[in-house]
Amino acid sequence: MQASATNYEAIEYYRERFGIRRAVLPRVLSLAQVEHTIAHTQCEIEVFGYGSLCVMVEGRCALSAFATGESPNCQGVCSPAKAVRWEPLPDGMRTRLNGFLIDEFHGDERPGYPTLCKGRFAVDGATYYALEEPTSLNTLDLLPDLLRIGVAAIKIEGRQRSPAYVAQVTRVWRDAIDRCAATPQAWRPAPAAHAELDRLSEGQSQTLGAYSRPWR
Amino acid sequence: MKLALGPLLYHWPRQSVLDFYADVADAPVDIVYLGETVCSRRNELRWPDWLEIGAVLAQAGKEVVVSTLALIESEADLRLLRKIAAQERFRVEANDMGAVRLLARRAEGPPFVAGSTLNVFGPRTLAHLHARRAGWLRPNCRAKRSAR
Repeated sequence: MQASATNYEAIEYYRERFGIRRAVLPRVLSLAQVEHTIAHTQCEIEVFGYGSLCVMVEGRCALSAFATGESPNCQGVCSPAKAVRWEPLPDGMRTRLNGFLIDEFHGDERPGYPTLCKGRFAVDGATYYALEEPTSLNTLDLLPDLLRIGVAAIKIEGRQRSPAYVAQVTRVWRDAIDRCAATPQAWRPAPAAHAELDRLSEGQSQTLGAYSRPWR
Repeated sequence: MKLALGPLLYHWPRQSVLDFYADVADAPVDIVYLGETVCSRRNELRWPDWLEIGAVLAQAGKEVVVSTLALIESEADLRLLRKIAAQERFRVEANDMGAVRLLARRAEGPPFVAGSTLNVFGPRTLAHLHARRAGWLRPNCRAKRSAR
C-alpha cells in the first residue's frame, strides 16, 4: 500500500514512528522544494526521474479507485490490467477501463494504456485531454542538480513495461549518473543518451514536470 | 446522529464565501469544517478570515473544525500548518501526515480529526491514529463504479 508524504514533517513522522529509511517524493514538487525537503529530513530521498508523468499526487489520487475499486493507495495497482479492454476498430482502437471509454485512436495514432487521467473527454463540446496531456517525464538535464542537492536515488518508472525497455532505460541512466558524479561541473547529457530516451518515451513530447516551474 | 458540513472545495470570490458561511450559521448543521484544503495559491481568504468565520459559527452554536491543506509543498504551507496546529480554540482536521505529526505531539487541547485525504483503509491504520489522539475519522468514500 502506498502512503503519501509531500513534505518533511510527514516524512519525519513516518521515520519516527515506523523507522522508514527512504521516502519517494511525489512528482508534484519543484526542484527547490525537493532540495528544501532533503535539507530538513534525516531520511534518504528518492525522486521520479524518467517515465510516464503522473500529475496526480502519488498515494492520494482517487481516479483509479473510482473507476475500478483498486488503486495503489488502497489495494492493487493503478488501472489494473484486468480492468483494461482494447477494442479494435476498422481503423484504430478503443480503450476502456472497467467499461469506461477512456480514449479512441485512429490511423497512425499510437494507442496508450488507459488510465483515467490520460483519457480524452468531451468537455463543453470539445473532446481533448481534459486532465493531462500524455507527456513523458525526463529529468536527464537536471541530473547535476539532483546529485548536488543529495537525491539518494532516481526512480525509473517501469510498471507495465517490457524487460527490454527497463534494461535500455536503466543502462542509459546508470551511465549518465556515473559520468555526472565523476565530473559534475563538466557533465552535459550525451546527445546519444537523449536520442535513446526519446525513442523509448511514450512517443509524445517530454517534460521536466513540476521540477521546473518557469511560470512561477 | 449529527450533521457535518465539509470544507468548501470551490474557489469562490471572497464575498461569496463570506455570504455562504453567513447562511451556514443559520443552517441545521451541527459541525462545520472550515479552511482551504485544495490549493495554497488561493488567497481570497487568509487564516485570520477563517478564524473570524469560525468565531461567528461557534457563536451560532456550531462545532467548528479547521481543515488543513491536502497537499503541503512549501515552507509557507508548513508555517500555516504550524499556526493551525498551535491554536487550541478549534478542533483540527489533519489532511496529511505532516499535520498528524504536529497534532499528535499535543498533550493538551481537543483531539484531532483524521481527514478524508489520509490513507486510512484498514483498522490497523485507524488504531494507530486513534492512539495518537485522532478523535474521529472523516472517511473518503471511494465506491466502485462501473460504466456497464
